[in-house]
Amino acid sequence: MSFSSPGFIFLFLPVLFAVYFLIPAKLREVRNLALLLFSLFFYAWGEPIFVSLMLLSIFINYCCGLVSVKHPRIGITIAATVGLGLFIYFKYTGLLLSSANNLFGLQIPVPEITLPIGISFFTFQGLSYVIDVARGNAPAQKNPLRVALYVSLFPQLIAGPIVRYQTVAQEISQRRESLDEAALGIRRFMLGLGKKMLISNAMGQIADKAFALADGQLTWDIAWLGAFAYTMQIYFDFSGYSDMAIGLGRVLGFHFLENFNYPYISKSITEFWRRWHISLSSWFRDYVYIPLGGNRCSKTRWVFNLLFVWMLTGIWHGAAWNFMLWGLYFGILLLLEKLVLGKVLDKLPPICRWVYTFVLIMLGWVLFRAESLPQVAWYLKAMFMPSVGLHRLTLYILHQYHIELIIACIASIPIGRWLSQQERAHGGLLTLGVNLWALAVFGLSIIWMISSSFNPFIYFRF
Amino acid sequence: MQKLCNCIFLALFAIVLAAVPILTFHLPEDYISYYENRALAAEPVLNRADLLSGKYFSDWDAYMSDHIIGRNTILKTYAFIQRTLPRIEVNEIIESESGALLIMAQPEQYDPVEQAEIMDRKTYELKALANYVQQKGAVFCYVGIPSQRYAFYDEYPDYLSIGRSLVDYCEKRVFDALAETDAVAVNMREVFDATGDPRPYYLALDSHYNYNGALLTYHTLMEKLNERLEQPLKIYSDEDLVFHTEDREIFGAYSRRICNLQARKEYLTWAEPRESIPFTRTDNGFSVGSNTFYQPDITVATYAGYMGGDIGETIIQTHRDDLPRVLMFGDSFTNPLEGLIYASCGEFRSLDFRHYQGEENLYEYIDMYQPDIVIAVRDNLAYNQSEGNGTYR
Repeated sequence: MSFSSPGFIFLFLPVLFAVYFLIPAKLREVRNLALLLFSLFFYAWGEPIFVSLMLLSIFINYCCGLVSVKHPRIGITIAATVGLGLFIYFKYTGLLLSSANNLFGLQIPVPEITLPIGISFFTFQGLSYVIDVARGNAPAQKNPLRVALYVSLFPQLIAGPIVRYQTVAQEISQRRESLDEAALGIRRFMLGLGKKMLISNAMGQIADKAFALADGQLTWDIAWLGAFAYTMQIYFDFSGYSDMAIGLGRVLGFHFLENFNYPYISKSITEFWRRWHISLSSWFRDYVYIPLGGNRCSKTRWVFNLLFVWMLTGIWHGAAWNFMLWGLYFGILLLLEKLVLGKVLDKLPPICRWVYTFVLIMLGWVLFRAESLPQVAWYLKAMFMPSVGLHRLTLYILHQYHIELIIACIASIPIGRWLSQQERAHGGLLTLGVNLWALAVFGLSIIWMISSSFNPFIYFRF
Repeated sequence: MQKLCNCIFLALFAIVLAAVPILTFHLPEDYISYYENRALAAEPVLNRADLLSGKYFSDWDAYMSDHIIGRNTILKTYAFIQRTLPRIEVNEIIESESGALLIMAQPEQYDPVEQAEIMDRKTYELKALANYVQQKGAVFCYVGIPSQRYAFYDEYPDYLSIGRSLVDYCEKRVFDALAETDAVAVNMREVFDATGDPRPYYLALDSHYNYNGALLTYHTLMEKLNERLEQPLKIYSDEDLVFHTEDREIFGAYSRRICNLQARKEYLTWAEPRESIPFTRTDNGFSVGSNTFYQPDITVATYAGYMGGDIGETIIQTHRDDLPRVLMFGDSFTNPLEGLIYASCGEFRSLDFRHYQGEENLYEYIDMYQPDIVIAVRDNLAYNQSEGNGTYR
């Protein structure tokens, strides 16, 4: 189920809130049970048959958590083997077999395996639980329903953020829902929905048009415009979803960590990855990079660690080689920044550093968005092959979407936050009206949702 | 203060969250979305296969979206906001400076070799049909009519130009082929162009011509037919007709897409012979009223007012056996013509193979009906198409 669907907002949410808040707060376990059942129903809404897979994942992680208390290595090994085994089977079997067929001239039948929604997220969350317990960062849960609730908690279930067990371990058993937190959460949800419906979808329409052009039809202007639009689409899509998840978590008494922090104001790729999909990059850092030795090892090993982690980060996003290429692209950029570019960048004016970073990010998103490696090649070629005049699609997009493009530019920098701080310092009347702003955005989002058929969610496929 | 604001905010949100589903499920449901011209999603029916595949739940999403309380108001609000913003199109409709509504069509992109092959086949079929009708002792008449987008071609912004090389090529192939037969060929594109400005002959809010366009087409084709007939058909001039104009503005195929919010308004006109011609009419085998203009949906005025819209088979009998039997087939452009041509016939039949429920193809129908005149009406977007009325056998 998507947050930006009428079924979620006007069927699921009202019933959930009614049931959840009618249960007295002191009956925490009953509230948790209700939340668990609603979370499973939320998952079943999209793919009922895969609920059993998620329950299996929960059961394995619960058992491994208990084992990890006394036998950390065994617990982690079993959890990783089974969890990642299922993950690899569902996500990468097709890619691996078809690649083997192509490489070695084999004719192994490639099965069509449906990817369970959110498997990339709940697998990593399950592992996070076992590893946190094994490391002694969190106590093992004896109550399986609590582990189930942690893994299946619907706000972050299918598109993150990846919530670590230690972040919410205490809140699962002891949390406090309040009016102010609920208002904050609902406002956050509304603004996230607005990001998705009002900005991301418009950017997606532009990107889809540009990336649908074949080799030979693409000119530099529409190629850059398409890359820019996709850059904005993926940010507002994913950060909008994270906002909605964090907001709903707040309403239910959970405090998920932030997942985005205005990544497009970054002045280096290193900074970008501290601001983009924070929960994923920190997960890989803490659970893969550091255990591999991080940077406290030989230079060769460090280079390997870094590139390996970024290759994994890339391929985590999807079963296609362009995702791995995308991961390696950022791995190499990060290496270059750490070895050479970092010192050069420090001497450049901030605007140059920003341009350098933003252009490289956009090029990265071309790798990410392209349907195939040949498309990557022709798209990038078109971006750097100047042509005379503007493509008719560029003119159409600039006439049709200029408002959304401007809004996207403004909303991707923290100018709103700055204005709000300034305004608060001068009385804060508008801040009181923040609820009105949120309601207006919510109303517009609902109008857009009902009236427009274009409503994809990019991160669902991960 | 902030706490009070938050309380009010949450109360408002809770009211919306509760009221929308309650009202949605308790108010009578619509079955048609008029603005979108489509059937609304039906309430999902639970079955094992749909439940396991997830379709059952996704159908509920579609149902909720289609039946949400105030949906038409939401669609109208969306169109209003979009029109207020400086945009080039709203819901794929471009509002030109003259107020005409133009469809956002993709620019022509085609493979000339492939199109040549298609037109080879189409013109072969067309010539075969024309010769077959002639062999049967009847007159075959082919009427080509430009679609609205070509009448308003110059009103598209340059960068949204749809191109017309393909449509011109197909037109040339069709009329070149007809010239090789004994058919009566009527290219209304040339006729409309000859007026200097085809736009007054077209609806600005719909994809079809208006009644002026239909009248000009009627006169042109009847005059051309009469050149071939031993006993000319009566052609009704303006003086022979009584004209009517609908009180309600037309809900055009294009204006409905923007919820009829456009500034320009149009009203449907139709005419009937001043001297009444009694007739009986059957649609798809069922006897209906003796009307040539009625709105099938009484709540709105649409182009379907002409003959009640697109009907598989309409038979009009004026019971004057000395007059010819005429068969006409084609898409919606035939509808206003039918209400004029029937008056000159002993029996008039109209077929729309997109909706025809019988089992006969065109050849079999001609064999069965034995008409004196066969009139094909085709819009220029469909010259190279085979669906519906583009397939004869």
